[in-house]
Order: sequence, then C-alpha cells, then structure tokens
Amino acid sequence: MNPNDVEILLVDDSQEDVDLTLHALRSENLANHVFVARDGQEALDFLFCTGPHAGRSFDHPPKLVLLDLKMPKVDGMQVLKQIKGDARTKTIPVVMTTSSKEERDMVNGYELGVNSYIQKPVDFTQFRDAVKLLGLYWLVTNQPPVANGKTEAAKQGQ
Amino acid sequence: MFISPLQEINVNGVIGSVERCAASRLGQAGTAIPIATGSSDGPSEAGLRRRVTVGFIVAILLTISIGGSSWRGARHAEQDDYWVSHTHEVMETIQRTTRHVIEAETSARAFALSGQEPLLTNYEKARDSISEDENTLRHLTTDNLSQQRRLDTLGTQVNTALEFAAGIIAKRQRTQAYPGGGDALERERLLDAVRATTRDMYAEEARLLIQRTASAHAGQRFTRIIAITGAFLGVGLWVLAKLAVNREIGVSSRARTQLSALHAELERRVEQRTAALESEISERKRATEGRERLAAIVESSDDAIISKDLNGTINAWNRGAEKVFGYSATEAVGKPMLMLFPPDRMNEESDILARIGRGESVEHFETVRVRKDGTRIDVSAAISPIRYGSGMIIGASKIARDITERKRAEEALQEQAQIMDSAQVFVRDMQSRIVYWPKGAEKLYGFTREEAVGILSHDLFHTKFPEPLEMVEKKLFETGMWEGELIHTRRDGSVIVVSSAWVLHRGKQGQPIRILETNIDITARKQAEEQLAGQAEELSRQASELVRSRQTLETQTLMLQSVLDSMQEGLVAADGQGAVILWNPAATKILGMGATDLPSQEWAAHYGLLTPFPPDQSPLARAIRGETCTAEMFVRNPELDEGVWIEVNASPLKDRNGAVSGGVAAFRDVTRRRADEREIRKLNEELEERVAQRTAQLEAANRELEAFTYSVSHDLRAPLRHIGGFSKILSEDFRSGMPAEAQSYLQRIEDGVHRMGLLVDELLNLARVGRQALKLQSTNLNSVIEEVVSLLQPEAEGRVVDWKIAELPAAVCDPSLIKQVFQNLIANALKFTRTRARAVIEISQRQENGQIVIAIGDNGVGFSMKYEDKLFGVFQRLHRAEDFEGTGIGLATVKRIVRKHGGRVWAEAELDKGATFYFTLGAESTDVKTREDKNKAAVAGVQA
Repeated sequence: MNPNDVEILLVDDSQEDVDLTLHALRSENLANHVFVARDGQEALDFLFCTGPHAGRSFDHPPKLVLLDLKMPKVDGMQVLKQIKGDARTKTIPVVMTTSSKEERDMVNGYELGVNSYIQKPVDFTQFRDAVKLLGLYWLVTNQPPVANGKTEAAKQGQ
Repeated sequence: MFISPLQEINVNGVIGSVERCAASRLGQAGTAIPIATGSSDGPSEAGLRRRVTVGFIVAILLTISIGGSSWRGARHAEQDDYWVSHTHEVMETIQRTTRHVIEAETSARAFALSGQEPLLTNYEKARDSISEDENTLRHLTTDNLSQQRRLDTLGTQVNTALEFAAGIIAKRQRTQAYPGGGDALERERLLDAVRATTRDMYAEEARLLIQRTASAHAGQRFTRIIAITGAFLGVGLWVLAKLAVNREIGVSSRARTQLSALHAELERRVEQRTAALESEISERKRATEGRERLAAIVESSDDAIISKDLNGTINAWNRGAEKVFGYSATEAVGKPMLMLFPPDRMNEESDILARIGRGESVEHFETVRVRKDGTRIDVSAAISPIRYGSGMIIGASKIARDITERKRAEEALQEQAQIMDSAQVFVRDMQSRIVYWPKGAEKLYGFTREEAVGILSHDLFHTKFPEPLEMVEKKLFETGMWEGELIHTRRDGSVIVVSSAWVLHRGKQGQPIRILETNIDITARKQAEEQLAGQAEELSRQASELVRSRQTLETQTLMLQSVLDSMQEGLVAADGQGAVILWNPAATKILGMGATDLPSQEWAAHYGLLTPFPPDQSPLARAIRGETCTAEMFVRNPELDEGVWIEVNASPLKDRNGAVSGGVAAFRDVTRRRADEREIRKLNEELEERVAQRTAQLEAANRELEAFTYSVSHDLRAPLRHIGGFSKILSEDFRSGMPAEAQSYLQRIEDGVHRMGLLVDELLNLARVGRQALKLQSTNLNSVIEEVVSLLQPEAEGRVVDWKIAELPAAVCDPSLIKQVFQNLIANALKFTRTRARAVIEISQRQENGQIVIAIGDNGVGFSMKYEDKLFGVFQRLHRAEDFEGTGIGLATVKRIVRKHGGRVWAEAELDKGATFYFTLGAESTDVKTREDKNKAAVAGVQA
C-alpha cells in the first residue's frame, strides 16, 4: 500500500482491537487504505513524515485518524495534542476510540478539539455499527475540513 | 400783733387809687369850663359877621344878575318868536302865491279847453288873490332886500303868466278854439319860472327860519340855565344865611347853658369831695378794723399761717404755727422753711417754690412735717403766691393744719369699718325677715342687700339647726340670746358652717322687736378639724401598717439572710460609691477574704484577682456604672493552694425610680467545672483528631477502592470486548460450518459477555458517581421524569402501564445524577410490574419535616420487608436472575446519589403487593433552611 493513499490511520497498541476494528471496517469496505500504527510515536512519525516515514509527503494526509487513548510510550492524548497543535495536521479529523465514558470526559477536559469518539463497547455489533457510521461520515459524507472544520466536526461528534 | 406788710401795702394801694380817681375827675371838669367860656366872644364872632355881610352882598348881586339875565332872555325869546312866526307867514304867502298862480293858470287852461264860465270865475278869483298875495309879500319882506328883488322878478313872471292865461281865455272867447300845443309849452315854461322864483324865495325863508329857530332855542336854553342857576344860588344863600343865623343863636344859648352847668358842677364837686373825704375816712377806719380783725383771725387761727419769700425764708408766723410746729414767731421768722421738712421730703419745697414762682397755687395737699421737738406730724397744707400791687410775686402764704389727729381718727374709723365689714352681722325682725343687711353679711353669703332684705333668713340660707327651731327660739326668748353652730347655704350654692350668736332686742315695753344674728364662718376650721381627725386616723393606720410591714420585712430579712448565708454562690453588693453593703459567707469562702472598704480599683489587687480587664472594669465596678456583665476570672484564694476560677454575673442595683444606686455581683467557684471542661475539650480534640485521621484513612481506602473498582472495571472491559468481538465474528463468519451445539455455546459466551459488560458498566457508573463532584442546579424534576419515561419506553412496549405522575416542585440537585435515580427506580418499577396485566406506576411528592419526599410506587411483585436492609447493597438481589434480570448495583447507585445530595432513600413494600421507594434531596436535619440557603447560593452560583 502506498503510504500516500492512506485514508485511515488506525492507532492502537492492542492487536485484538486492531483486528476487530479492521474487521469492522472491512465489513464496510473501508479497510483498504488503513495504516495501522501500534503506538503513539509511530503515529506521529507517520503524520509528521518523520523517522521511518520521512519519505512521506504532507500533501497526502490521512482522511481520518482513529486514535486509541491508552497506549504505551506516547499515549493518545499526546498524539492528539500534537496533531491539533500543528497547522499542517490540525485539520485532520481525529476520532478517539475509548474504552469508557470516563476516558472521553478526560479528553474533553483538555479541550484539544477532538472531532468525535467511538466507545469501544463490549458488544461487537454495536462497535461495528459505530465504526460504520463514523467511517461513512468522515470518509464519504464529510467534506475535507477547511478553516473551522474542527468545530463543526466536534459538534457532529457530540 | 400780726400785721402783714403786704396787706398794709394793699390797703394803701386801695386808698391811693381812690384819690387818683377823684383827682382825675376834678381835673376833667376844670379843663372843660375855660374852653366853654373862651369860645363865646373873640375873633370868631367878627369873622362870622363879615361872612354874613359878604354873603348878603353876594346874594344881592347874584339876584340882580339873574334877574337881568332872565329879562334879557325873555326879550330875546320874544323877538325870536316874532321872527319865526314872521318867516312862517312869508313862507305860507309864497306857497299861497304859487298855488294861486298855478290855479289861475290851470283854470284858464281848463276854460280854454272846456269853455265853461265858472272856470273863468275861478281864474279871476285866483288872479285877484295873486295881487293880494303880492302886496302882502312885498309888505312882509320889506326888511329883506334879496327877497324884494325876487318879489319883483316874481311879479313880472306872474304877470306874464297871467297875461298868457288871459290870452288863452281871450283866444277861447274869441275863437272858441282850444289852446294848442304851443300854448301848453308856453304855459309850462311860464309856470316853471314862477315855481323857480317862489322856490328860491321859499328856500331863503326856510334858511331864515332855521336861523331864527336856532336863535330862539339858544335864547330859551340861556334863560333856563339862568333860572336854574338863580334858583340854586337863592337856595344856597338861604341856607348859608340860615346857618349863620342858627350858629349865632346856638352860640349864645350854649353859653347860657354852660354857665348854669358850671355852677351845678361846682356844687356837685363840693359835695363829692365832701363824700370822698367822708368815705376815705370811713374806709381808713374799716381798713384798720379789717386789718385788726384779720390779724386777730390769723392770730387766733388754730391753723398755722405762715408766709415766706421766694427764697423760702419765713417772714410771718402766727400763733397757730407756733402751736402746730412748736417754734415761736421769733424763732421761726427769718429761718428757712426747710427746717419744717423731714429729710425725705426736702424736694417738696423746691417743687412748691417753683409752682409759686409760676404764679400757681398749691391746693390742699397732705404731707408730713417735722415739729421743733422732732416729731413728725401729718399736715394738710395750702400754699398760694403773694403778689405785690403790680402783680409781681414776692412770696407765698402757707396755711398748714395738723391733721395727725384726723389721720389717726380716719385710720381708727377705717379699722372700725373693716371690723364691721368683717363682722357678719345682720338683723331680722320677729318674723325672721331680714331688715338690716350690711356689707359683711353680703360678703359672707353673696346675697346683695336687694336680694336679702325682706326675705326669711332661714329660707334664704336653707338653715340647718343643731336642735329644733322651737328649742332655739325658746332659749332665745328665755335668756335673750342663743349660740350654736348652723349650716348655711350661700348664694353660689356652697355650704358653710357658721358659729352663730343671736341676740334678742327688746322694745321699751320689753316686747321683743328684732334679733341680731352674728355669724362667723368656721367652715375652714371645721374642715381642718375633720382633716386633722382623718389624718390622725390615717397616721395610726399607717403606724400599724408600718409595724406589720416591719414584721414582714424582718421575716423576709431573716429568710433572705439565711438564704444568703446558706447559698453556695458568693454575693457581693456595693452602693453607688463602691462601699460594700452586702457580703455573704459564700463570698468570703470563695475569695478567702471578707469584705473590704477599699475603692473598687484596688479590689483586684486586694483579692488577688487575675482578670483579663483593667481594675476599673471589674464586673462590680461596671455594675455600679449601670452595666450588666458576665465574666470569668481567677482568684488567688489565700486559703487554698491553687486559687479558684470564678464566674461572675454582675448587674446594677436600681432604686424605685430606676436610677442606678449600686451594683451586685454573684459569683461561683467554677474551678471544677473549668477543669472538667478542659478535660472534655481535650477529649473532644483528640476525638476529632482521631475522626479526622480515620476519615482520611477511610477516604484513602475509599479512593483506593474506587480506583481499584474503576481500573478493574475498565481493564476488564478490554478482554471482555475481545471475547465478545471474536465470538461474534466466529458466530457470524463461521456459522455455516459449525454444529448446532457449538453455535449454542457460542451464543452462551456472547450472553455471558453481554451480562458481564452490563455489570462492568454499572460498576463503573457506581464508581463514577462516587468520584464525580455534584453540579447543583435548580432542576425541573417533571421534565427529568419525562425524559426517563421516554427513554424506558421500549421496556413498556406492548404493556399496559398506568403512569400517575404528580406535579413535582423544582429541586436543587445534579440533574444528570437525579436522572439516574429516576431511571433506576422507574426501570425497577417497570421490571417488577412485568407480571401485572395492568402496571400502575405512581410518582408523587409530599412534605415531611419541611422536606420534599418523592415517592415512586408500583403495583409489582414487591418484596418482603425483612430483606429491606439488603436492598441498597451492592450485588444484592432479592429476585432470581431467571425471574428478573439485574446486576444488583442499581439501587446501590441510587443510594449513593441520594446520599451524595444529603438525602435519604428507603422503601416500603409487601410481597406481591407492590413496592414504593422514597427519597429526599437534603439532610434530614432541622437546619433545612440553612441547606436550602446553601442550595440557593449554589444555584445562584450556577446561574451566574
């Protein structure tokens, strides 16, 4: 897969969750252009074209970042902070995948401008439905955000 | 011998004036006589005669001239008249001539025309007259040449005219012819000539006539003037002559009369002189007598008669003055009047002298003077100015009378009158009618004389007698008098008590004629007596009361003393100056010392008081100043090793009027209590510390537990999710190649995962409630319930549920948590009524202890109250999972939320009869208000 064709950047340290997410995306035919980063650092390298991804271009950012909160090394919060703190990346929609409402509340507390959330439910069917809805929204329905795209996205997510 | 020089002068003055008067009368007569004699002969007589002679000559001359003039006048008048009538005659003749000429002419012409003979006769007659007239005129105008000439002309003209007429006549007689036109013209010419001449003559005569008439008039006027002048002159002369004669006659007769008058005057003057001399003699005699009498009167007068000059020096002093003032005439005369004035009236003299100087008299006035012996006497004095003959004031006479006696008598009289006035006496006749009513009686009773006299006295006064009237009268007639007290009513209605004395007056035959009643008003005395009696009674009553109250007081004092002695509290009282007035034994015991008379500032030092305030702020000192206070202080009691703590209550002592009169301090030993309190405080502090420690431990444990629960729940979710996810994929993606039993097991795995998911979620929620801070705000509970009901609608799907939701008040709470409460409770209600054909779920509220209690009741399966204690525990379930699913965490969550709000939750249920859950949102304490306020403040904060 050409790194410049990436539509979704999936960031999750749990192989199980990655597999389940990919399964869910796949069932909706959204898994073809997914790049999986197994920790925060990798995600940042990919997004900022550094490290192993130094050859990548900023011209082709992913259309969506599915970012898990709890990760070793650089956690989801730090990643989110850097994405939203950099002019080059801040327009990229970020959907946080959380294990609980508490996590979601925590992220909101920092007001980092997350675009949406997916709570990873115990019930896989629910999870699949959520992924489906989100993927469709952000990849198909949603126009690439311009200046104030994040505000609108945040509204939509809530 | 008293002779006033002034009076002497006066007498001389009168005599002098009489002499002067007589002399002037004589003088007048003496001068009148020579004048009368001197004027009878001398130059005036000769002049008169001359004047008379001249007058006569003038009169004669005047008469002659007047006579001549009159005669001349008459003559003139006569001539004038003649000439006037002459002229008239001439004029008449001229006219007649003219007329006759014209007549002759006319007759001739008429004959010529008519030929009648009579006309001829007329002609001839006229012709004859004309010649007559001509002769007359000639005769008349002989004196006038011009008229003679004109007459000649006229004669010619007339003859021509007559010839012409004769010619006409002749012509007629001859020719029987009518005169022709030439004849007529000729005739006219001839006549005109005649007329012109006669006109001239007439005019001449007329001029003469005017001349003569004027002359005649002038002559007449002259004659009239002469006549009048003559008449006047005659009268004037007559008068002059008469005057002259009369005067002559008057002079001679006056001379005769004067002679006889002179004689008579002489006689009269002799008489008068004699009389004057006589009267002078008698007057002198009278004056001497009068003066002597006057002097005698003055001398013998009892009044002091004094005269003084304008300097106030005495110059006359009679015997009366001697008597009145004690000075003899020789002592007084030449001394100043002021010696008679008392020092306080010295100024009177200057006033008097000033008035006298102005010519005024000082009428009778009463004053005080001093006698020679220095005694003051009342005098009545009158002072009048003494004038000299010319009217000049040269001094004053003073008449003074000693009125000391009179004054004394007046005073005595006045006194008597006053006595009489104050004596209330009246007289009545035997019928008791008032006959005499003096002022005193009027004053006492108020009735005027008019009102009282003639009235029955007993009726007038409504007299009340001390004994029957018969008895009174009997006594009066027997003894001639009666005395007693009566009650009378006065005019103004007031009632008085009088001490009455009746005296019976008897006539000459001894018959009673009247009663004199004397009444003295003794009302005031009576009242005073009564008052005194009342006062005495009151005094004895008060005395006995005093004894009684004193006894009571003693008892009370004894009682109070024993109370004071036996009480444990120290009691000290001081008066306003800080002097101790009360000190009970307990005070001595507590303080270790007795009372002191030191000032309050030194008490602290004296009693070893350790106080937190300056010495003048000690409770007792403050109490004396009117304050009430409470304080604690330490006393170093010398009797004890350690001293004592005392609690003092001090308050001011007030007298009956509320004024502060001192202070009282009550104090008790609180050493023990303070020790106890200290101990308790220490224990409390320890306890609080322990509690805080334990709380902190518990809180830490709780936090740990919560963190543990959270992380367990959280971390359990991931594997659970994985199990669920992969089993789902397995059952979906690989179902076709899987035996039915495997499929069933997979399904069980999924169910287990689902249940465990719920369990974990709820546990997380429970933990979350514990951690979350309350976000209080005023919440509309009904809208919360509405939301919950709609959320739970799927549960009620296909069931009959009767919702009875009352109107709930707004509550201050965390809406999201309260929503969980309602959600759990309503979900429970729905769940446990599932077996009911018709579910009834009722949400209501009621007030209880000032709190709102919200109740959620159902008609479900209920439960037995013996398991009530387990109801709100975690994982506690009262039903089998097969019957009613559940985690056993919901009610625990409810309880946690309600308690977090400070409220309480409980349930009432009966097995198979439904259950009702109650909760409140606030501490079940009495300080609801405080909490509400807090809530309000919170709401305000939220709203802000």
